[in-house]
Amino acid sequence: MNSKSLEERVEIFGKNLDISLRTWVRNDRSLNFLRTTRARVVLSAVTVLALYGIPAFQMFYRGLSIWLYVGALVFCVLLQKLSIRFAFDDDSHIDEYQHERRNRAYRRAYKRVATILAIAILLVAENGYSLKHSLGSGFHYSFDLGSENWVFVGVFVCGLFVVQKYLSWGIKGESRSA
Amino acid sequence: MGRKSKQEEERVANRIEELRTQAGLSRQELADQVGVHYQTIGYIERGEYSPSLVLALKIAAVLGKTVEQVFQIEEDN
Repeated sequence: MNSKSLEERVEIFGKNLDISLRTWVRNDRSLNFLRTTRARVVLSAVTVLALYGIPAFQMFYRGLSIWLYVGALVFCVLLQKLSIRFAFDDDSHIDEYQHERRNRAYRRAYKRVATILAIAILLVAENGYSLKHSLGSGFHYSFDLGSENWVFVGVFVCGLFVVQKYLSWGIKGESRSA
Repeated sequence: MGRKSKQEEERVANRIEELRTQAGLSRQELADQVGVHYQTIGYIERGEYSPSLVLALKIAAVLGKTVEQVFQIEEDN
């Protein structure tokens, strides 16, 4: 007699489906085209372009949808996850090489995010100071962004944190021979 | 990019590819037996990654050799 309730069976089914899907995605060789060095170079370039390019365009020309930005970032993150076999998501399926490379990526990502944020804060502070004192230096950008662009700034900061570890993983891809 | 660490200067040379071929094993088969991804075996064979002591012992055991017969330290001058 099966004493498991419907909820328990659905939960077990869901877990098994998730594990099977991840195992398939991680090991299936049909996705290897995303894991070569060339693919990682292209993927990194597209990710950088999406992360910085879309908000830069919006700041100066306006008119882009926030959902375009969110969608582009989600798409890039998904491809990055597939490219590195979900190395950041699950400890149990990575070996010692991937573990070491992942830790190195975290260290690099931390340094990069800290540097980018420090530079951004310094630029904003310098801009504000030069505007207030009419020094003539600085880039004199008015930070009267409006609610629409503040949403872009918020998504950019979130994206910066999420995407940086994938960029820090590096462009070295996998070789084809087994 | 950056300064080389002491670990990077002392590369670990190995005979895994030669011994694996002699044993008739593919990278995938060796990787399955020691519990790593086949790409990791490739990185070790090419000297791009120095394995942990545990993994080195496992690889040597599968190849039927001692660790010293499989791995040697190769210092840059």
